Amino acid sequence: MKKTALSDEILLSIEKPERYIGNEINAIIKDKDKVDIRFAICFPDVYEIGMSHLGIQILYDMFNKREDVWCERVYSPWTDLDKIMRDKNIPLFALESQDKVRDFDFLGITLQYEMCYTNILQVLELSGIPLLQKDRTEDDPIVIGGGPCAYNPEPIAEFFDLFYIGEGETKYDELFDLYKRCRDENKSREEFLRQAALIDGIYVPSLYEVKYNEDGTLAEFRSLYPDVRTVVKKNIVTRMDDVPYPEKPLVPFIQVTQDRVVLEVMRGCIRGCRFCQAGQIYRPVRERSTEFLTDKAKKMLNSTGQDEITLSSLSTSDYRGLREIVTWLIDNYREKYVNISLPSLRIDEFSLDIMSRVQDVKKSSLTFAPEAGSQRMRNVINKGITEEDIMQGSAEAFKGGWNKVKLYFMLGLPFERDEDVLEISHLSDRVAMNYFDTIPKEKRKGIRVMVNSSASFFIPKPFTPFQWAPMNSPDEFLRKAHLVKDAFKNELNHKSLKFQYHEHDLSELEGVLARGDRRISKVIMKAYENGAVFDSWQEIFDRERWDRAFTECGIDRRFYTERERDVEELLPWDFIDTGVSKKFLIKEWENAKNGVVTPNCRKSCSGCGAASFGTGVCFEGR
Amino acid sequence: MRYIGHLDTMRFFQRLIRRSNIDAAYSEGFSPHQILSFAQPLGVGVESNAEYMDLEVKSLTTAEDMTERMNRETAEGIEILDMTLLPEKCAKAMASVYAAGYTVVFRPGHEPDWDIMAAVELFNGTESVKVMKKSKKSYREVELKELVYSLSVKMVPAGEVFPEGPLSGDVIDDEKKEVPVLDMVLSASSGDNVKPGLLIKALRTLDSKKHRTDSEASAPDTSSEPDTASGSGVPEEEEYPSKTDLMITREELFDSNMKPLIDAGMRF
Repeated sequence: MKKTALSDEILLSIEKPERYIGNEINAIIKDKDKVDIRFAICFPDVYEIGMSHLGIQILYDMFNKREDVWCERVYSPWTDLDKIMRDKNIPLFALESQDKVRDFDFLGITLQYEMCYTNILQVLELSGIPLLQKDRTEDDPIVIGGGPCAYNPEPIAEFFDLFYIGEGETKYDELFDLYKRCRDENKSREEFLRQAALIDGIYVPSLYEVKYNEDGTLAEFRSLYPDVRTVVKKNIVTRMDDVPYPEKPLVPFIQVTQDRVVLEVMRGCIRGCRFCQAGQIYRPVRERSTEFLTDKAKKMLNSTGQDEITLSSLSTSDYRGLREIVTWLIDNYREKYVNISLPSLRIDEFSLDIMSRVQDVKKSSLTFAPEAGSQRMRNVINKGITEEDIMQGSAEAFKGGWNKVKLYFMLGLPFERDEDVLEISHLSDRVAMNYFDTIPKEKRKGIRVMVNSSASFFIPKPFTPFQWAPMNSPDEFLRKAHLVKDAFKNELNHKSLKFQYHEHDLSELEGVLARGDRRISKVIMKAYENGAVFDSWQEIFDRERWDRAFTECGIDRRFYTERERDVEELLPWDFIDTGVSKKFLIKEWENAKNGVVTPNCRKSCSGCGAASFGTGVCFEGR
Repeated sequence: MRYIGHLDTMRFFQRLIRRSNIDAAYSEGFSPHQILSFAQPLGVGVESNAEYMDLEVKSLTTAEDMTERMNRETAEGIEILDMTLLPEKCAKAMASVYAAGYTVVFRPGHEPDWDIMAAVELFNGTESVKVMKKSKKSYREVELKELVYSLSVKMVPAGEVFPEGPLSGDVIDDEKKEVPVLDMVLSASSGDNVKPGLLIKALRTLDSKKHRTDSEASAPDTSSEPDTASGSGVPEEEEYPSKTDLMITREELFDSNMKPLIDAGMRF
C-alpha cells in the first residue's frame, strides 16, 4: 500500500481524508532522485478551493514538463488536521510524494485574495519554515509569491524571499536555471536572491528599503544596490497560443468548487471598470485561437472524463470566437453528454440562445451585474451597462422561460449618494415589474418571478483608478445596507424581491490588506499568533483576533481604509509597472469624479499604456 | 483507496467510464446520467476485493478489452477484476445481494485483550446471540445467529497478515507473533445488513459473559449489558470496536443461493 504522511488512524479521524492522500487522476509522480528541483506549489486555502484554481494547474503542468523539476501540490490543512499536526508535531507535506515541504527547493504560494494571508503563515509554520524571510537558512526552501495580490506585495513582504510579478508562463525557466547554476557553484541563498532580482518581473523585498514620513505616508522606497532595479515590470504572455496549457488536468476524488474542465479563452478584459483590479492588471486583452481551444478541449475531456466544460475569462462575451467555439462544443459534445458552462456572459439574445441550448432553464437563474443602482453611479465606475440593457436582457430571459434573476451590486462606491444606493432597490423592483409587463398573466402558470439582489462592499484596490479612494467605514456600510434593505420592503413587488449583503468586518480588513504597506506584516503576524487563520471563511473569521493585533502593533486601520490619498502620494505598490500608466489611472480617477465614461478597448484606445507590451487588443486589426 | 467515500467512488467510476470510452447508456431527461449502480456502499476505512457495479451499455466489445481499457485509466488501488453480461430482465446487484464475506484483522497495537478464539468457539456452539443493532434512528434487537452464515478464526504470523507492510503509522513489533485473522460471511441484505464490527463487539461481550459466569456463578446478574435497553431505549454508545481498531476487507458478495454475484452474468 502507498505510504501516506498521515497515519491511517489520523486519516480516519478527520473530515475528508481525500484532501491529503494525493493519488488523483493525472497527478504527476516522479523519481525524486532523478530531478534537480523540487517545487511545492501551494494554494493557501482548503483543498476544494485550491484544486479549483486554473493558475496552479497551468504551472503544475508546465513545471512538470521539465524533466529536472518535480512540482507537487500543497494546500492548507483544514482546522481539524491543523490541530492534530500541531499536537503531534507532524510537518506539512506535499500531496504527490507525501514528503516534507521543508525538504523542497521552492515553496511557491499563489496569492489570489488578501484574506488568505494568515494561511500563508499557517503553511510556513506547519512546514517548519521560519515565518520571517530574514530568519531562513540554507536548509529552507525559497518562498515565492505570485498571483494578483503580488501586485501589492508589501503587506506580506517580510514573509517572502521573492515575488514573481505577472504571468507565470514566462520567466520560471530562467529562474530554475539560475537556481541550478547557483547551487552547482555553491552560492548562498543571498547570492541566489541577488541574481534572481535581475530577472524581469522578480521582486526580492529584502533588497529594498522603505522610509516613512511623519504623517505615516511613504517617503521613500529604494533598492539597496545599484544593480537592483527600482521599477519591476510585470511579465506577460505575448501570444496565448504559444504557451503551455494543461492537456491532462488533475481530477480530484472529492467534489471541489470548480469540478470541471476549464478552457481559458482569453486573458484580460477590454471593459475597464474602474473598481476592477483584474481588468487593469491583466491588460492588454489577448485571445486564444479557436483551433488551440478545440484541440485542448478534446484532450482535456478525454484525459479527465469530466462531463462539464467551462469557458473561462473575465468577460467571455467579449471573446470574438465565442460563437464558433460554443457551436463546436455543442456539435461535438452534446451527444456525449458534456455540459457547457458559460459564466460571466453578458445577457443578450445570443447568450440566452446558447444558454437555453446548454442548460436547464427551469433550474438555473440568470445573473446580471449592474454593480450600481443608478446610471450616474454606473458612469462613475465605468460599468458599460445601461438600464435599457438590463431591461432588454431580462425581458428576453423571461420570454425564454427563466423566472429567476440575480443582480449583483456594490455599496460604498466613490462619490456615492444615498439616492444612488436607493436605486439598488428601485432597479430590482423594475426588473420584477418587467416580468409582469413581458409575460401575460395566462402564461405565468402561477410561477412567481424572483429577483435576488445582493450587495458587497466596495474595497479600493491597487492599480485601479480607485486606488486613491477612501473606503466607507463599517458603520457607513451598514447604514447604507439598512437603507437599501428598508427600501426593498416598500417596493411594489417586494414579494418577488430578496436582498442580501456581505459581511462588513471582512471587507474592512480586506481593505487594509489590499492597500497596506510593509508595516502591516507585523499585524498579520500578530493576528496569526492570536489564532487567526482561514479568515475568508466567515464561520471561522474572528474580528477580535485582528482587533487585538492592530492595537498591539499601534496601527490605526483607518489610515489604510478611510483616508483619501493624494495623487501625489508615493504608494507602496508604485514600484511595480503593470503597463498601465499612473497618468492614465489619474485621468480615469478624474473621469470618475465627473461621471465621464471611457470606451472599451475595442471601441477606441484610451492610451492606458498597455500597448507597450506590443500585443493583444492594442494591435488588433493593425 | 480506503479513504474514498461511496459518493466519490461513484463519481470516480462515472469519469473512469468516460475516460475509457465505454459506450455507457444514459438516462433520459434534462440532466442525463450513466445508468450505474453499486451493489452495496463500502464504508470509509474498509478495503475490498469484490465490489460490484451494474452498468447499462449501448454496445460491447469483449470483457477482456473493456477491462483492459478501464484498468489503463484507473487510479492506483482501484482495479477492474472481471465483467459479465447480465440478462436483460434481471434484478440489480443492489437487490440481489444477500451476504458478504469479510476478512477481519486487528490493527497492530489494537489486538483484542480478550479471548477471541474462545469467543468464536462459544458463538459457533451456542443457539442464540441477541444484540442491539443501531439503525438510522433507533436500536432494535437482532438475532446474530440468523445473520452470521459462517465464522472462523485462525492465528497467523503478523508478517503474513501484512505482506505489503503495515498501514502508514503502524508498527509491527514482532513479525512472527501470531495474530487472529477472522473470516466471516454476514447478512448483507438491505434490511438486515450486519457490519463486521457488530459481530466483533458481540464476540467480546460473549467472552466477558463467560468470565462472569465462571467467577461469579451465583451472583445475580445486575450488570445490564448495553443491549438490554432501559428507559430511553437508546443504550450508551460504546466505542468498541472503534473505526481504527479493525482492518476489514470485503472479500465477496453473494446472492441468496450463496453464489458470488459475478455468476449471475454470462461471459462475453
